[in-house]
Amino acid sequence: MPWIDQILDSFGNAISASDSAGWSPFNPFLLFPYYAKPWMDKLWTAYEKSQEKGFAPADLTKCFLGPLFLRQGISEIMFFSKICDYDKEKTTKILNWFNDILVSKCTEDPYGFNSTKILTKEDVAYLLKMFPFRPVEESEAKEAGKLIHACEELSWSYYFDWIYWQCFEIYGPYELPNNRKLLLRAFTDLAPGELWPHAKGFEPSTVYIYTIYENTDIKLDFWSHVITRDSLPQKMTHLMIIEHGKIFTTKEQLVELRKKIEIAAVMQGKRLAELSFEDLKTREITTRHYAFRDLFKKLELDWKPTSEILKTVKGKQLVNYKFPSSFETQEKKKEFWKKLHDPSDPFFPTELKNA
Amino acid sequence: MKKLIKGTPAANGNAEGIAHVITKEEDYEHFKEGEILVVRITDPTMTIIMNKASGIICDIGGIGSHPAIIARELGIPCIVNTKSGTKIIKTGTKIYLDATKGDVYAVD
Repeated sequence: MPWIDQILDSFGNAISASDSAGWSPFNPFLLFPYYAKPWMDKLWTAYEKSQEKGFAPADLTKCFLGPLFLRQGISEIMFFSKICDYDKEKTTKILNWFNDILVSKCTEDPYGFNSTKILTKEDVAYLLKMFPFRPVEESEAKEAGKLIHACEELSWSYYFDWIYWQCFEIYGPYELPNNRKLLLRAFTDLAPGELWPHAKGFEPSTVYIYTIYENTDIKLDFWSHVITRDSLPQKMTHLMIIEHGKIFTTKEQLVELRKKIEIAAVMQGKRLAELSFEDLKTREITTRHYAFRDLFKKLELDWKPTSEILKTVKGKQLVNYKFPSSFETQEKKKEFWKKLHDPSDPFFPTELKNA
Repeated sequence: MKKLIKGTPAANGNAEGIAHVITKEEDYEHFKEGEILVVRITDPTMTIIMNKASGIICDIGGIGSHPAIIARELGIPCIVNTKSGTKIIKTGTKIYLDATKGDVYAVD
């Protein structure tokens, strides 16, 4: 199966389990039509620069936190290109470029059918040997779950729940002996001062939460969401937390951090909720540019959005298109979203075309 | 037990407890440890009360939505897509949440 069909299939699996009515603070697909063309132009410029500078895809993998970023980036490029009928040859080159970077970074299951892995077996063995994973009882495992939750909410409230991919990634599940599995959660930018000035200097700016589970059916989907029928705290056997370079050795440290991040998430959630619609739209575009800043900086491009691209949404309402809210089957929902994104499929609602 | 509502199972398990319907931020401060959170959909401002909840029931959402993801990390049951849980379930009602089947019952 060609790679595009594979990634569309994996994307379709994930998005058919989601509910667009729950996307907050608004459905981003209804804002994309305004700025699709200038955003595609920016990505094309980035592609041309990378070719001009002779960067191989493997040279650019560090510009993206994880496979999630690249997968989501690819799905969005497909959608953006259909909005503005972007030049097909350019679109194909951009898509292939991102795919080449993705498969350089993630050789096993790059499209996220079941996992998000970038480490080899040897890397994992080394990690387990070098880092002091602590055995945990369920009560501490539950505390770890609350910390994970708080970190995720803080990420979503800084970056919207659809552009957090350069702040938050989950890697795994890595198979271990005795029917155990390892997940590595990385929260790498919890102090985005360039996006939210008040966040500058927030500590910790990074939190890593590594967990081992036993006898569980854990998988990760296209968006590195943990999919399981199990209660994760009940299945957790070992834990390691690194806060800003410091390894935790006690449950009390975990609880203290959890409380701090909870408060930060609530306050940040309030700030987001109190923004005007005009601010939200500007912020959406700025956050998207910020997500790609490492790539743009490496290519010596200004990461900040131009005034022209910000003007495309000024004074505008979300486009007037109602996504279908119910489907006969999940399979039909999956097919709808695949067709919507598939560059080779002409299906695309006129309401979502260039606004 | 009388079945109150049905939704989509999103995180397995069962819980019995007092329902607490949250429709505005002013409701948050009254949410008690162990109550079952009933909301339209969760958001970051609810981080602390979600960490206190013994279960989550949402009017909207899918099995890949945030409340589902979070509930699995917390190890608590979650039902989404009830359509009108926040209208039908009343704060203070003792309820039983069967998230394996997606059913919510009033406990007599």
